[in-house]
Amino acid sequence: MHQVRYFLAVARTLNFTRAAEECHVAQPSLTRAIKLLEGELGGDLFRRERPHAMLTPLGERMFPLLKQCYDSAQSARALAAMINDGEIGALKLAVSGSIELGLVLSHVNELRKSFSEIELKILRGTGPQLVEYLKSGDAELAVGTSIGETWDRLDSWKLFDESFDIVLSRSHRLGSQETIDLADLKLERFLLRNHCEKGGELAAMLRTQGLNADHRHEVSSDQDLMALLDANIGIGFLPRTVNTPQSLVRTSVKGLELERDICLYGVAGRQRTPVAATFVKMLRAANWQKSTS
Amino acid sequence: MTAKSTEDKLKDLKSSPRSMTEALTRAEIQNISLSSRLSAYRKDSSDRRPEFAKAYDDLVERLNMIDQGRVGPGLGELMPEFNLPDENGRLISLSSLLALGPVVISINRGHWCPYCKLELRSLAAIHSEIARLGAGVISIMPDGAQFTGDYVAQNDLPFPVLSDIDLGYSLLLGLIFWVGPEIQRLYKEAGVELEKYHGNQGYFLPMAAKLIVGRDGRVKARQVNIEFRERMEPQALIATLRQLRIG
Repeated sequence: MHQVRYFLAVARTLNFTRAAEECHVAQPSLTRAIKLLEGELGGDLFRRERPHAMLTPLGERMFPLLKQCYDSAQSARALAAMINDGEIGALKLAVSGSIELGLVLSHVNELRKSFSEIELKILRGTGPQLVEYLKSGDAELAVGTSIGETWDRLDSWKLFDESFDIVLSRSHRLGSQETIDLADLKLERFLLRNHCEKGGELAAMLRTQGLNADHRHEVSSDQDLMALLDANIGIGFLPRTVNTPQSLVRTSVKGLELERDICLYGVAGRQRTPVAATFVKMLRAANWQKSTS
Repeated sequence: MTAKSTEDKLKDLKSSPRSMTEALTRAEIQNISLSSRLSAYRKDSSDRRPEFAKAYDDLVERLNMIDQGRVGPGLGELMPEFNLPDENGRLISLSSLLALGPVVISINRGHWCPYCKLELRSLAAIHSEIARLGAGVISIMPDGAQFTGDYVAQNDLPFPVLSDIDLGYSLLLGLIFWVGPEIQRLYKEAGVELEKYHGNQGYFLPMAAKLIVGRDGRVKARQVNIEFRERMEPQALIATLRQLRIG
């Protein structure tokens, strides 16, 4: 463990003397530890050009990987300390409005068994809002889709992907039809979810298929979307994991296939609380295939 | 289908195995110690894939440069706390297990590793005896529940398998190593998709290890197998737990 810590310090400072100072250790012990690590990894990590050190290609490759392991080990250690202190933690989680909270609730509940005093803070928003919450620190983690490109300091982990269904009222003229094809939809007015990160992609797809994407209804929550669909107003698109009431029909239409990746986001380089670190591990380890089928 | 005669079975055993599954089954049919089963599999495997055996030998030689006795938590040391999700997403902590009795912690390489499979099945076989001695068993590996869930079911494991994502806990124990480019290439060829199982591109693995932790949270017995094709014999483990009970 300390070998990795020393390696990260040398990689950061590119100077053995400075790294030894930073780690409060004598330089020979630091050098010895790095040698040991090089033995374990099977190659040199640094080119020594006194007083400087340069990362070798192996060192370059190892740096992000060992950093990830090290952060993970640090949070395991912090967790142990926190449990001993009985310190209360908070989980500040931002979830995209296009995602059902239910998706993560079983994990939140599991977390509460370990951290009974945990405080929950759930924020909702659009993709760009999630990024703002993360930037400001209002949220420590976010669950969303396709926001990874918008800020280069985001850690992102894909949890699973899912497809969209077409959703309409049972009393809609197409509601009892066995299959629906593109031609059936020519005259229809679609309901677009402004809160969905895939909204633009969906509108573009409708246009490509010669459907009417401009004369449309817009909503900004799934609650409203369902209320409108229930009143037989328009045709909507919903991801598989957003549940719908019995009064609505879900189906798929050839030529209108849309998918999204559900991802977990955190801020790279920012120290995570033990609660958040545990939550990240839970979500990343989870069997999403099973829980969303 | 009629049952095979003993003669047929013996004939089968004499011919060389065609697949990993067959080699594993053959290793298990023989009602012998874990170490004999492991070495039987190792031999079959090196006959089938000599390049794997060579790469593994090189890896073990490289790792053996490290002082074996000093790898991992030492005897009498406090075992660090963990709180990791199992194959069903339940969080399990070391302290919650210790509240019930001593714990046998098995650090495993992954659900894809045949040596770990033989070992965990042999632990499953003596699980009731371990339970009678008042102890619990847990396996920790870097794979996500998408892989460990089926694994627990298919191998009838009567104990949980925890996911150590990014190998944080294994690193805390000082038990991780990098597989290196040669084995990385062989794994890719053989369809062992570590990136997928681990959810990262690291190609790190934990060293196979057994740690027996007493109720006081201290390590009572340990075996770190840098040579991961060898493992702690279940009977040695039972003997330690008996000792703990008397002591």
